[in-house]
Amino acid sequence: MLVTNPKKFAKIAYKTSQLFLSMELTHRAQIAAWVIADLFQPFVLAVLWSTVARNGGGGFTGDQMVTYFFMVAVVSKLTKDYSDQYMTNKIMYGEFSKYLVKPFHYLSEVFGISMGFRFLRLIILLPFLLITYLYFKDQIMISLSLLHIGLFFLAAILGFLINFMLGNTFALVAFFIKQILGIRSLYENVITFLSGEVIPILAMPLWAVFIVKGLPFRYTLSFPIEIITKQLMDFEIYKGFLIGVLWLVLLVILYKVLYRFAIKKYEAEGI
Amino acid sequence: MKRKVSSKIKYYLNVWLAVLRHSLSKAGTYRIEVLVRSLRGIFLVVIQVIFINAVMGNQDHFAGWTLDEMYLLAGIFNAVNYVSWSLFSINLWRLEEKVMKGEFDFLLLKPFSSIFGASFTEFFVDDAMSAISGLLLVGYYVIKHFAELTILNVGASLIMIICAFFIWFSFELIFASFDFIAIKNGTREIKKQIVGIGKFPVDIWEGNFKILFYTLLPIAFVGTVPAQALLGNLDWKYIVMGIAISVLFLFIAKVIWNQCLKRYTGAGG
Repeated sequence: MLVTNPKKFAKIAYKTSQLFLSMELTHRAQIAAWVIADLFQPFVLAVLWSTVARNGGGGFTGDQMVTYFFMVAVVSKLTKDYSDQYMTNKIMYGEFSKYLVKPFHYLSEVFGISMGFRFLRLIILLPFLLITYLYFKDQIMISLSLLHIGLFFLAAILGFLINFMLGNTFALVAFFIKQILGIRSLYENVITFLSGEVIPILAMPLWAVFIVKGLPFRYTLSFPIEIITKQLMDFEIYKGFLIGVLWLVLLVILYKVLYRFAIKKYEAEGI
Repeated sequence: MKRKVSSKIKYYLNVWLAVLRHSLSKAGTYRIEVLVRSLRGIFLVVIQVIFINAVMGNQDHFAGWTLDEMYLLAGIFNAVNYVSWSLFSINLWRLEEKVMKGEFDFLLLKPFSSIFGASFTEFFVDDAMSAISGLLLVGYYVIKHFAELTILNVGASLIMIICAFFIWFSFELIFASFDFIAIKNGTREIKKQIVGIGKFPVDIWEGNFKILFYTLLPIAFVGTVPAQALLGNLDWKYIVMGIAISVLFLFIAKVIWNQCLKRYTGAGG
């Protein structure tokens, strides 16, 4: 088991997220800037892909694209995780040492920070998302059935957990290679591309869809959107959950195995 | 006066060459990083080719641009983006940390302007490697359409690329200036999103947005205009406009920097 004492894990995570929130709330200007920045990219991409739809390319409509990128703005707040950045920095600069003497697993702290970050961004963005939704109401086509909403949130939780484990498994590379920044940028590019953040899976060629569906990245963003926009048949939803859960289990095992080797490499020297 | 200006330019050039020598020797130590960044450059090309092909679909044109022209636009944007990033963007990105720790004082003591000190005191060779993605895409277009290129268009495009660097630098400088007023202001995130618009043809925007991207937020001059200049599709008035806007933006950025710098207290640690 990754979490041997769930109660302790939850307690540390809760305390850390509280600390994180109180620290971040001192920089209110930054929070306001996040709101604008967070809405910017989905807006630009919605315009771009709507133009594609207007031109008759891609086999989708402009409304589908507006819906998709509106949901990207929502789901990315639920599932996005920056553990890879946080942990690689800690390892690189030798700050990981403190976790070796603490009476809890460092993942509980990282999890807390991740939750705090998510909560903050989501709460701030919520009113703006609501305004955007009301403005584009006629174009946004999402399913409001309880089943789809429930499955959507389940998929978003699964997406976050996969993202979290992906990020933390990747961060372990920093124990072996200190010059991690380039590899990290590459990793982030891969995630952005394969999760459907820039190119909706709808717009990908068939061979790419086949590959993307087998990889874990789709389940971190596109999958919950596909559920709520009713792009998937029932069996495709179940299949998606099955693949997602399998990836999660695989990532947990990979993390545990890799961590056992990685920690032996830690020299705490920092660069 | 003329002599004074030229000796000043010579002085800054010498300082920067020293910075470059130091950065190159540092890059020699971090060879894996340089290699990974080069690989990332190639990966970016793959991503962009897939992205552009997805955008084009089965159509011959997208917003008036052909497939090869879209490659050219993406290539120019990548080159400007990653060269800027290695030349000055990372230095200005790190300004926040320097201000937070009160370390900016040391730069003010050095015998060059504060803007130069904040922007050009390190050259990031490994990041420059990501510009390979731009060179590959532009190279592809140039090789395929070599016969269609004219010296005049190449010259105009080069001038516009220089203007793109000026505009990019001005943006970076303006947003970095806000660090003197409030640290952790988050405006860099907004800047990142604004300049990111430049990788798409400005023609996808309609009405006021299009005007905005040629004037107040002149992102059109970062990708679209240099590409159009090379294609020979550009009216000369846009070239004049590009030069005027880049000079004006640089001036505005300098004024904002100087005004914000007055607010720097050196407190921190």
